[in-house]
Amino acid sequence: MLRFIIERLLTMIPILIVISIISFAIIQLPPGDYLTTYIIQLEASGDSVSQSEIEGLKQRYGLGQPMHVQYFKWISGVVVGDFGYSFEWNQPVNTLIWERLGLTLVVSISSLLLTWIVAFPIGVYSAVRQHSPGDYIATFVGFLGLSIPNFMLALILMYGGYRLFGMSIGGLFSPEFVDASWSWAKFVNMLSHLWIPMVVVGTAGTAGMIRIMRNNLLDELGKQYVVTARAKGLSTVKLIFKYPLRLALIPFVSTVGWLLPQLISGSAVVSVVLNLPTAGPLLLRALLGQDMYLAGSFTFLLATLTVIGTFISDLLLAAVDPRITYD
Amino acid sequence: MKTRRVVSVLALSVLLIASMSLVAFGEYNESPVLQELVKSGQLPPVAERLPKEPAVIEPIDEIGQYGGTWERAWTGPSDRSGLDRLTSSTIIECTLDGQDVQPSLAKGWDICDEAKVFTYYLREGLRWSDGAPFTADDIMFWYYDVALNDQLSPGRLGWAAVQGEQGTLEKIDDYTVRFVFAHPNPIFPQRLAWGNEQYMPKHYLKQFHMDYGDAAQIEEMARLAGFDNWQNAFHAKADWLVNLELPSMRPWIPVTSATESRHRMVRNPYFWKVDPEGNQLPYIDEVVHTLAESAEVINLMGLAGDLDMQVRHMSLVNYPSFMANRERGGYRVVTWRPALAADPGITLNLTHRDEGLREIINNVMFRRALSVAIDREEINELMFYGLGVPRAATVPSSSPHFVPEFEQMYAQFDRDQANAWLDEAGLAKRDSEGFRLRPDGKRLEITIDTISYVGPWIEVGELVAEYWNEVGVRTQLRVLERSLFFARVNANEIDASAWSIDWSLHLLVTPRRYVPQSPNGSRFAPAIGTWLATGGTSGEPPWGDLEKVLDLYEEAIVTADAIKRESLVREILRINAENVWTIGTVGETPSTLGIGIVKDYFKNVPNDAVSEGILSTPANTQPAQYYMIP
Repeated sequence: MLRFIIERLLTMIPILIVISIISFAIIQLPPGDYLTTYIIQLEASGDSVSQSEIEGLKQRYGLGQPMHVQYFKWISGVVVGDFGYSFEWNQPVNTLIWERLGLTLVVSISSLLLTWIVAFPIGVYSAVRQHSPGDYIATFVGFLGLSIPNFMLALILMYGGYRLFGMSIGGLFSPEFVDASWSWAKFVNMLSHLWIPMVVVGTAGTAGMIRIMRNNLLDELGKQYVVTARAKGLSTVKLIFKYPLRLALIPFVSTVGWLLPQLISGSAVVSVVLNLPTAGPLLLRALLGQDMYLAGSFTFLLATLTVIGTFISDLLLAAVDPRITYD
Repeated sequence: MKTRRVVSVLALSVLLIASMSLVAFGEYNESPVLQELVKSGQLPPVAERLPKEPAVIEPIDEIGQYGGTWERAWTGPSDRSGLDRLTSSTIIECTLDGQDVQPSLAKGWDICDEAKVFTYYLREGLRWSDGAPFTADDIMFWYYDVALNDQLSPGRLGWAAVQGEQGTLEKIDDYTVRFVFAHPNPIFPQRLAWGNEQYMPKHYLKQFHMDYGDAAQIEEMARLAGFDNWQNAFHAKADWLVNLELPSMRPWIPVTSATESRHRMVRNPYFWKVDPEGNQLPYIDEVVHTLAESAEVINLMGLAGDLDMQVRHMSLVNYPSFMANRERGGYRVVTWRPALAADPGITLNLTHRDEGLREIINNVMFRRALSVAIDREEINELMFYGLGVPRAATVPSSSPHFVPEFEQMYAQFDRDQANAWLDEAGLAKRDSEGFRLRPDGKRLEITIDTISYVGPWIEVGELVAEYWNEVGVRTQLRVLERSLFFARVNANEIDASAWSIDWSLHLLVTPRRYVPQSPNGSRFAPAIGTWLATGGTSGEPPWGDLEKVLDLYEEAIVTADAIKRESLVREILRINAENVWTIGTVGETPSTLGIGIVKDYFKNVPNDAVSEGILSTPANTQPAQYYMIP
């Protein structure tokens, strides 16, 4: 077991190095650099910048240097935890990402919990009571949830929230609470706004999970050991929760690896629509604006989380699934 | 009649003297917020904070009331020019109509020696937001120690140079500075009124400057703050949105970091403008910018009535929704007039690489024909709710150089005329589908490139392509990703482009739309723009009328005589109008910085204002005199 873990950890190192090179190179691929996008942004809002200013900025940001020089400058900082400087925000990348991470995790984890709380019982019910009216309704709603793009759902809910409840447009707080320090009232205010992103981000996931749960469980329910257990007089609830459900969970465990990066960047489009100060929009803007250290650090962070997540799911699988051996 | 005039002049002078004596007696009022601070001894009395002769600002409608928090929204630091403009405080400033300049930090000026010598008299007793005196030293520091310092600003300060020769700046006394140029520089006042920074707080910033402080200590400070070198550290210290300690002359100064979800600015207690009754400006206590993830969100916030007053980012596409929602949102909608000559204008590439196409495009009859083939009235109704002006691409009516005659030149929709001129241009032969053939037998095909942006360029571009197809010129619209668009323009690989013809208020300050000065700014002759931008290493040298307008421009910017200069500018405009280098569509449309949402309780916002980058709009409407009814 220990050897298995160490081997896995060692293989992560070259993977991360390659990832860091690729993520840095990808940012540089589109024509132009941060300055060209900056100039166009200025033009779009009716401003301008002179040629001499551009030259000055280019030197200041070190954009004239060859790519490998820029890469080594960045990666040598990353090793000691310094992700460089964001051109657009004029702030160290670290502060920017940490500042937004808290709310990001609140939104992601709460919608993840919602997904699980809703999807598991419904999925189990659909499988056990296959072809019942309840199953059909769950299936119908599930497909609906899968097929409606979640930005669309976000717009509809936001409009509804504004029209019916007079909620402020977008954001996680009403204006009077944004500046306030944390209090019970602020927490309640956040909850009253949080349900929209929770529902929006959670819907597609819930729908997908209901389908997966239902199918996995259906596969198991038909197997002989279930029939045998039933014949021996085991109660249905005990039977299902003890054996087939455990097996049906294995595919979930193996996707934990994708969950970690999802937590940070999964809700990007929804966050832009709903105006949530989470990490997703920051990443999107960094990519669009070619803010290379911010975007590069972000993609690198996400890739690292995927690698770590895969590692965790490997460990979990090894623990859950007795069929896996360590050779 | 005569006596009446004398009487009114007398009355006026009495009024003037009265207001001056008020100012002289120093009976000033201030915000209750500041009164509290004065009472508790944290701040000197208002008369000591204001200069001897404060700048007196006439309110747009009426004398305002103190107080309030002005709710706005922005998309973060890359949107900072919105804040820069809102609080812009310059040595001299632009008037509301944008035609001229007026006193600001300087109470007056002299221009002599054929516009080579510019003397500015600063208000005595101006103070920075930390209370330190503002003097000529702060301007000298900015000019010589920052803007012209090779280490801090590797590029040159183009706008303070004529024909490549940098102007010199002299300090005459604490309150007088003098710019001296080797050649006449008549447009310098306009440029000075536009400039971003023209002074820096020397008393504060010198501790971070290599030439003043201790070298080792400054390097160490920069390293500790996470900068590669002292220059970057200095720039961060000198940036008013980054460094909250930085003394400022702006009406509001920031108290929160630019990454906060609500960016707050509070009133500058030393602000140096007053209203005619001696009330210190600004009226409004606080300005808050909520961070929005996109411009669309800002539009939604406006619709919902969450913004008190905002023009920036308000989109013309949403105009009908804004109008329909006025009562519910409790706001009114103002439409300012951006100085847009065309939104967008269509430029054909006169320096095209394909010899056959180039010859056709360079035939003036061809360009005139394409211009009259466009139904501008229809575009105005379909895309701009009739708010724009169907016109050729000459400077807008708000420009001091506007010549009415050029506005409608070759801008009357006449399809028969277009067909006749195209036939005359040697394009009479058509193929089986009815499209015109080039003299070399190939089908005449034109691609208009554009990008997806704020103005309705794609929609108008499609309409134009349709009109041109109607007269047998096969035209396609191609929407490119923006960096690809610029790459193609720079490589001289476009037939035609659709882009707004902005920056057209003061032709001599920003000539790019009428003089082929830069590849991307002057898309009617990108290869010539490249030639000039690269100093002749690539592109092609100017020729014909394109060379002529370049010469006229070079002559005009050093011509001190106003009448002669104006005649040169008109000649540039005449050559542009007759040549139809840029084919106009609809102009003066409120697409960018044109539509504004103003809450019912938010006052002193003009219903009509000229909106332009070089006026730093809304700075020309004096945001310091906006006020909110509590």
